[in-house]
Amino acid sequence: MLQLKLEKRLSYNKKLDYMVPALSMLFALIAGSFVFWINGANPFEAYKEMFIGAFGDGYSISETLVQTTPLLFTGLAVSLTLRTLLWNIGAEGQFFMGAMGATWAAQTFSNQPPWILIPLLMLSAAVAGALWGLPPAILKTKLHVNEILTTLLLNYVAIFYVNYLLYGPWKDPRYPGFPQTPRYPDAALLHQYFNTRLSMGILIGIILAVILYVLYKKTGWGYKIQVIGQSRKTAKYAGIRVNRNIIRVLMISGAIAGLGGMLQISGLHHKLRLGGISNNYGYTGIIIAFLANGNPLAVIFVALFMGALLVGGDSLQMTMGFGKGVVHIFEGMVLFFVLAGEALKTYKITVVKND
Amino acid sequence: MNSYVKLKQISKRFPGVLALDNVDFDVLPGEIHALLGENGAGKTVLTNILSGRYQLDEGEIYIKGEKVESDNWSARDALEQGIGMIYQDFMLVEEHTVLENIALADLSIPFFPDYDKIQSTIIELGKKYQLEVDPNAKIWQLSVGEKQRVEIIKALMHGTKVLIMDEPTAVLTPQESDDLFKIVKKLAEEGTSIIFISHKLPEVFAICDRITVLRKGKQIGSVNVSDTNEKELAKMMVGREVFLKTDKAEYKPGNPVIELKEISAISDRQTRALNKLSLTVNKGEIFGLAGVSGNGQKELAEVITGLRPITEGFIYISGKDISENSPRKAIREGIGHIPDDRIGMGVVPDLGMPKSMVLKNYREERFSLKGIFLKKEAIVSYTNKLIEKFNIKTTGIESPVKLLSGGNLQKVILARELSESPPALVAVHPTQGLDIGATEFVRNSLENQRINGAAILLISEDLEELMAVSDRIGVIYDGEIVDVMQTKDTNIEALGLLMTAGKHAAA
Repeated sequence: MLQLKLEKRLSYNKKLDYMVPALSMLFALIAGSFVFWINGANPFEAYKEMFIGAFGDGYSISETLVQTTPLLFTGLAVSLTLRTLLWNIGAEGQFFMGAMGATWAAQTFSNQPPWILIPLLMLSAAVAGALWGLPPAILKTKLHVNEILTTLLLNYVAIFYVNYLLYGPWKDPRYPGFPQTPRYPDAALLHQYFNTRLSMGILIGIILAVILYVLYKKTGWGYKIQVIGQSRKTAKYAGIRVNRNIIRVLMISGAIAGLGGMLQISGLHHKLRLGGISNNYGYTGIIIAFLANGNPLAVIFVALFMGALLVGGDSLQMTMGFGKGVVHIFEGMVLFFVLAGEALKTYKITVVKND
Repeated sequence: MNSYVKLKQISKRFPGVLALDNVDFDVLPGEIHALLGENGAGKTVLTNILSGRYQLDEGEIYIKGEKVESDNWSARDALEQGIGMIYQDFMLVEEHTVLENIALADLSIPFFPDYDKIQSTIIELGKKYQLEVDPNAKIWQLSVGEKQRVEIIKALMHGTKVLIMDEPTAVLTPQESDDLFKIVKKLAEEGTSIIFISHKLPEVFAICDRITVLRKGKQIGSVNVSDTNEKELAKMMVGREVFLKTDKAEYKPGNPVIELKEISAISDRQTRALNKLSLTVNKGEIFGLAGVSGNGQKELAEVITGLRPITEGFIYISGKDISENSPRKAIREGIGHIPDDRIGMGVVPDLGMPKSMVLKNYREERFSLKGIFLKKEAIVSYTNKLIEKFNIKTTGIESPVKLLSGGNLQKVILARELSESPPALVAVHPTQGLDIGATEFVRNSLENQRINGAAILLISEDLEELMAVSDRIGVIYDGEIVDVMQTKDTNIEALGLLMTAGKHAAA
């Protein structure tokens, strides 16, 4: 009789770092086909439709990249904290606070030329995002409050605060019925290329990913946060100032998410409003960071996959009538398979013969 | 006489290791049978098979001459057949009372246990075997020796016929060990068989009747105590002659290096851990610190290495005031630290060898360009040099250090902490859990540092080690140093008394 048995791996197989997420995405697609099948649709047709929707022509590719941009930033933000074994569930709120900070700068310095105004917006957004990461960092280091809860709860505070601004002091007086600000001054807007909605935001995101990769792999700082992430006690023992670095990491993470918020407005929406600004980007960023195993270069590809899923899901809605929920089912299943696959990094399955 | 338990040709495989290879083992009624061997020899695996915690791969188990169904031999079967085991980490509920813990051990625990009856049994057994313990005390209030007694009572309540004790003296003071030996002998006289796991030869000779030696999963032999001697057994255990007596160079202490002046510190539990403690360690000496664990040793090591702040007093290193200490400061002043928690504090388990070696000095110019970009090649060649110098066995320098054996892991830490010849060194339980070969290596490394002029504070619970290695020995009790002696002027009994009775003994 053949029997399956879990055996502990004796050595670490580096290939699994890539295999597990890749197979997880594949398995999620396979499992997803049952969802289509149960609902009377041909899975192959549906996937084809999704693929065409996301990559079918130049414009759909550009739309996929438009969705990828914010995901890139939230994914990078969360992956940074993941490396230090912190959980930043607050990218969503930091994203909104970044958009808020950018809007404040756009209104306050509206007479400046673009080459001053755009960097000012970026700075303001990054600072706002970083400050939104600060309270959880302080609570974590001084009072040992779990950062998962504090970052998560601050999301609601951020969204409600932006809500308040949009219904109150920042409301565009010309459209009293809509909770939104006036359009940014032209100098605060990023150019959209090739007649699409794509701005240089995606490029900034990719450059940031490369910079983070170099920081992680080649610098003492990257080494330091790796030590902190894997053993706080050892880090302290080695003379690394753990608390200071935890605060730093959470603030930088917030700044990255905040920058994503700025690019979303300057590059895409051109005014701050609630609906459509974030498509759950902060939460999807958690899945992305996890799938990418904290590797910033991998974040680029996973964010692209998730962006394509969003755009493909949209086209599915139009052509086959499946709701947006399908996309979230996929996201959930990918995460499910990744978590299940984690076990394979420490265990291997062997076949035992029993007589 | 027929054996009570017989294990025949037992084999047990773990991934990549043959933990037991055709081992035979048997225990006679009323016999004290020692299971002797180095770490990883298979002692614990063998007894865990007997107690039903592990399943065997091959072999047969006989109880009172009858073959049991060894494939399904479970922990419950073992208990029902009167086989009890006392693990090194006690299986007790800390927040419960002695009585409740013992009641819980009853296999057929009724919904309403008869506490009065259990209590009277505890007291009765206590009188009979000198196992006195307060039935209504909470476990966390008890000393280690008392907890062990609770475990023994638990076993007796089961009607245990074969009691397995896994290194029972590892956590005891010499006096407590003597008490335990009396209890064990009495139990054997009454007909209980004892399987006594140990790697300490003197105690095996003190109480055991028969000895089975395991080495790397193989049974090397079973001998009667009367037919053998310590030297022969040590050779059986290790497979070669060992010399644990370190040859010590002449004792020529220099100037004070580590100076503590009336320091106090608070423990994690907010109690006073160090109480105006003063201590000096000189250049070129090993200062051994003896004490029952929990008397401030941990905090003392942390204070010197900057991991814990002091609330009063002064710390000087080579005359420099570092009372406002931090790990970074301590490293800068050249205080090496060999922590007792090797895997949790001494290394980052998932990192490879190069990153483990430069943990404390990666900021230096030779390992990083302007303190920012790491010089990978320099780090790797430095690592290779240390691997050679400290003879570290590895499957590849980038494989995670957690996969190393205990001895090799400790060598990684030694290599990092000692290769720069620190003027001061704090070593906490540096040989705990290591086999004889690795122990020998660690002790020699410390001795080499001493010859090079390091001031070494050695914290250990192993008195024989302290006697063998130290120049001077201090005893810590309740956060104070109760006495400091030249090693040649003291002995294990005197130290044991000071450790347990503190000032009363010193006065």
